[in-house]
Amino acid sequence: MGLRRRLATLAVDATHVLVVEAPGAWLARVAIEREIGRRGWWLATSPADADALVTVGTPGPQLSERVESAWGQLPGPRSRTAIADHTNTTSVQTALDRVAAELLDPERQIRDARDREGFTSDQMSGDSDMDMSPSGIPLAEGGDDRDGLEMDELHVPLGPVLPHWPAGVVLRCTLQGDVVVAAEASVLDESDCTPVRLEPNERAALRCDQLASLLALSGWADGRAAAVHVRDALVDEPDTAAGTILLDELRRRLRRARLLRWSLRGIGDLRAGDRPDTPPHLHGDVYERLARLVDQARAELTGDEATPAPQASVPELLAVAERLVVGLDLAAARLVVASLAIDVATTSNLAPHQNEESPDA
Amino acid sequence: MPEAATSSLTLVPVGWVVLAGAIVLGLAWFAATVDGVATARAEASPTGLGRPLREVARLMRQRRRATVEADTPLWRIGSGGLVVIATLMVIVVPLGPWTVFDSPVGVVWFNAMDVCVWALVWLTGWGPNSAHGLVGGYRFLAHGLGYELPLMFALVAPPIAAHSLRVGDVAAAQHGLWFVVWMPIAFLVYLIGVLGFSVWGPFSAAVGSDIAGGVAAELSGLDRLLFLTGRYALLAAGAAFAVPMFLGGGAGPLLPGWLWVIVKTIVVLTALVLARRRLPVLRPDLFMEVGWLVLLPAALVQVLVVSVIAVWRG
Amino acid sequence: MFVDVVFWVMTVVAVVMGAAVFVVDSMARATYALALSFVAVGVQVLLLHQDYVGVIVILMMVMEMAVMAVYMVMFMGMNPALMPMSMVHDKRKALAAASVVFLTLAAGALLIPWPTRRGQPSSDTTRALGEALMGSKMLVMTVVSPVMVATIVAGIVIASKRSRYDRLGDDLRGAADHSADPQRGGVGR
Repeated sequence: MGLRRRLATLAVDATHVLVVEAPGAWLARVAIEREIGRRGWWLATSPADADALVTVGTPGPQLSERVESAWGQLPGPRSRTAIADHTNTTSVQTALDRVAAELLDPERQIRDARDREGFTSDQMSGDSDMDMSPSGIPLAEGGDDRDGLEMDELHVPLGPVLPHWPAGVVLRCTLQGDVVVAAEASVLDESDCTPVRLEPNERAALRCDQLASLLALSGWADGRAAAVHVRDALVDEPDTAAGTILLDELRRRLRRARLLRWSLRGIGDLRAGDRPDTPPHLHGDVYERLARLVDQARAELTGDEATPAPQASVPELLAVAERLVVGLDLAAARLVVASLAIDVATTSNLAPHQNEESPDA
Repeated sequence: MPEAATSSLTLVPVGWVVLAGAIVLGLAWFAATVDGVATARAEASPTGLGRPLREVARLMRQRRRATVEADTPLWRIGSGGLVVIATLMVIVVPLGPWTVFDSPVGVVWFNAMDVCVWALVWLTGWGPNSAHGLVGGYRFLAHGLGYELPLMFALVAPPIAAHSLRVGDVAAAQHGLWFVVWMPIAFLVYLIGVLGFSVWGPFSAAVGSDIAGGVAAELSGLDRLLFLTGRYALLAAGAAFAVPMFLGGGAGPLLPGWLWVIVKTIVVLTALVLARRRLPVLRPDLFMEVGWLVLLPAALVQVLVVSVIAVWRG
Repeated sequence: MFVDVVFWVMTVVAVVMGAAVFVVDSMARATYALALSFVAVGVQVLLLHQDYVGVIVILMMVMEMAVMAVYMVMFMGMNPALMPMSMVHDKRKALAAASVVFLTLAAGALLIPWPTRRGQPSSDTTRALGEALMGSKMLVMTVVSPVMVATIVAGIVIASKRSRYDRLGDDLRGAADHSADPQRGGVGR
C-alpha cells in the first residue's frame, strides 16, 4: 500500500492536462497554462494522453457535448474541473490542487472505473458485420483525388478539443490520405458568444499567444517557449516600454530562424491580385502572417495608428480558411488556420456587421 | 561449420544480450533526463531531473485504452516493438573488447533493423483505427523515403574504408584517424538518419502536435510508455552505433575501451536529444526533395571520395 | 542443435505466415503476415551462413511490405480492420494454378540429381559473393541496374497524370502560377 501510494504521488507530479477553452476565456487558459508549467505538469496533446480535463470559460451546449465526448476518452485515473472566466491565481491553484487530490484518491478512481465498465463494453450498434457500417462507423466513400485517382474520403472534424486550435471553431474536413479536399468552417454556440474587451497589453499578449500556437505547430519548441514567455510578461506588465523591448527581441529571433522560414514559406499564399476582397493584413503566406503577428502585437501595445488593428470579422476569416486549406495536407492546413489568428470572442466586436448575421440569442 | 573471417573481438555468450538491453534502457533514461532538463530550463518549470521517473510512474498507473474496431494485435506489436529493435541494433556494437553478436555483416544488420522501424511506427498509427494515427503513420513513411537512402549510403562509406562490413573491423580500422574527420558528410547524413528513424525532433512530424500526437494520439498507459521508451532507445542505439562507425570505437587515452564507448555514446546522444527543441519539424513533403536532391548526391560523392582513397591506399 | 531448432522453427513460421496471408481478413494483416514470412526465410538464409543475403532479405522485404501496405490500403479502403474482407479471389483457378506450380517445384526439388559439394566454402562468404557478382558478372550487373532504374522511372511517368512540366512550367524554371503546383518541393523550385 505504501509503495502504491508513493507511485501515485510521483505520478500526480507529472499530470498531463487537456485544456479546453470556451471562446473568450483565453486569459483564464493562460493562467491555467502558467500554473501547469509552474508545477512541472504537462499540457496533453490528446485525450488519450491526458489525466485531467480542464474546461475554461463557460462552454455553450454544443461545445459541452464535445467536451463530454473527450472526457469519455480519458484513459483514467482521471479528473475534471471547470474554471469560469475571470479568475485569480488562487482559484486556479485550488482547482488544480483538487484535480491532484482526486487523482490520488483510490476509492474515487475505482468507483469511476467501475461506472465506466458498462459504458465501454457496450457495443454502439451491436455486431452487424453484414451491413456496411461495422460498430456504427460508415465505410468511406470514394472520390477522385488531385491526380485523378479514386481514393477514399474520410470526414474528420478539426477542433474544438484540439491543442493549438482557435477556441470554439470547428473545421469539418474531407480528407483523402492526409490531403484536405473540402472544408467547412463554423463556430460552435455562435449565438452565445459575448464579445470581450481587452486592454492594449492583453491584446498584444493575445497576438503572442496566437504566435505561440503557430510556432508549436511548426514543431519549434524553443520558439514557442520564447513566445509564451513574452505573452506571460505582457499579461503581467502593462508597461509599454518593457513590452516593446521583449517583442523586438522576439522579432529578431524569428528573423534569424532560417529553417522556420524555409518550412513556412509559400503555404496558404493569399495574393491581393487573386482576391481583392480579402483584408490586406491576411495577404501573403504563413511566414509573412507570422511576422505580421509580432508587428500587430507591437502596434497594439504602443497604440500605433500607422498600423491599424486588423479589421476582419470571424465569418470573413473562416471563409478565407475554408478556401486556403483545400488541396493542402493536414500539417499545412493547421499552419494556415493558426496563421489567420482567429479569435471568436475578440474579433467579433471589431466587425460591425457580425451582429446582424448571427442569429439572436 | 566454416568459421567466417577472424575477428579481434571476444564473443560473449548470448545471455549477455540482457545486459545490452539494460544499457540501452539506461541510455534511454539518460536521454529522457536530458530532454526533461532542457524542457524545464526553456519553460521555467521546476522539475527537470525527475521527469522520467514521474512520467514512468504516471504511465504505469494509467489504464490502457481500447478504441472502436481497433486492430489490437498489430497496434501492440507496433508500440512494443521499438525497444526490441533498439536492442537488436545495439548488440552489434562492440563494447570495448566484447561483443554479443559479431556478425560479419554487422553494418547491414543495423541497417535492416532500422528499416523495421518503418513497419512498427506505421503499425502503431494503423492499429487504433484513428484518422490522426493513420496520418502520422503515412507521414513517417514519407520521411522514411526521404532519409533512408542517404542513410544507407552514409553507412556504406566506413566499411569501404575498412574493407569489412564487420563492426569490430570498422572500429579497428580507424587507429590514428577517426572516420568522422575524413568523412564528415557521411557522419552528418548518418545523424540525420538517426533522428529520422527515432521519430525525433525535426523528424517528429509523425507524432506532431498538429495531429494531436499522430501515431501516439491514442496510446495510453503501458503502450505509451513502451512507445516513448522505444523512441529514446532508438536514439541511444543510433548514438552507440556512431561510435564504432565514425568515432574510433573504444580508442582513447587513460580510460578503458568500454568506458570510452559509453562516454562517446553519451556525447552523441546528448547532442541528438538537444536538437529537438532547437529546430522546427521538417515537413515530409519538403524534406523528401532535400533527401533525394541534396543528401543522396552528397552521400554518393562522399562514398566516391572514400572509395578513391581506399583504392589508392590499397 | 540450437541452430537446427531455430531453423525448423523458422520453417514453421515461414509456412504458417505464408498461409496466414490468405486466411486473415484485412489488408494490413495480410501484408505483415507476408513480411514476417519473408523475415523467417531471411533468418534461415542467415543460419545457412549466407549472412549478407540473409540480412538483405530481411531489410528489403520489411521495407517493401511497409510501402506495399500503404498501396494496399490506398486502393482498398482506409478503415483498418473495420470491414473484414476476404484475401482470396477467383478461388478455383487460383487453387489450380497454385497446385500445379507447387507440384512442379516440389518434383524438381526431389527429382533433380543435386551435385555434391566440391571443395570448401569460402571463409568470407560475403566477399566471395561480391567477387562473383562484381567480377565475371560485372557486365550483367552494369546493364541490369540502369534497366531497373529506367523501368521504375518509366512506370511512374506513365502512371502519373501530372508531369514536371505541369508543375514547373515549360522551361522547368518554376511555374509563375503556384496554384498549378499543389505540393511544393523543399529545395526552392
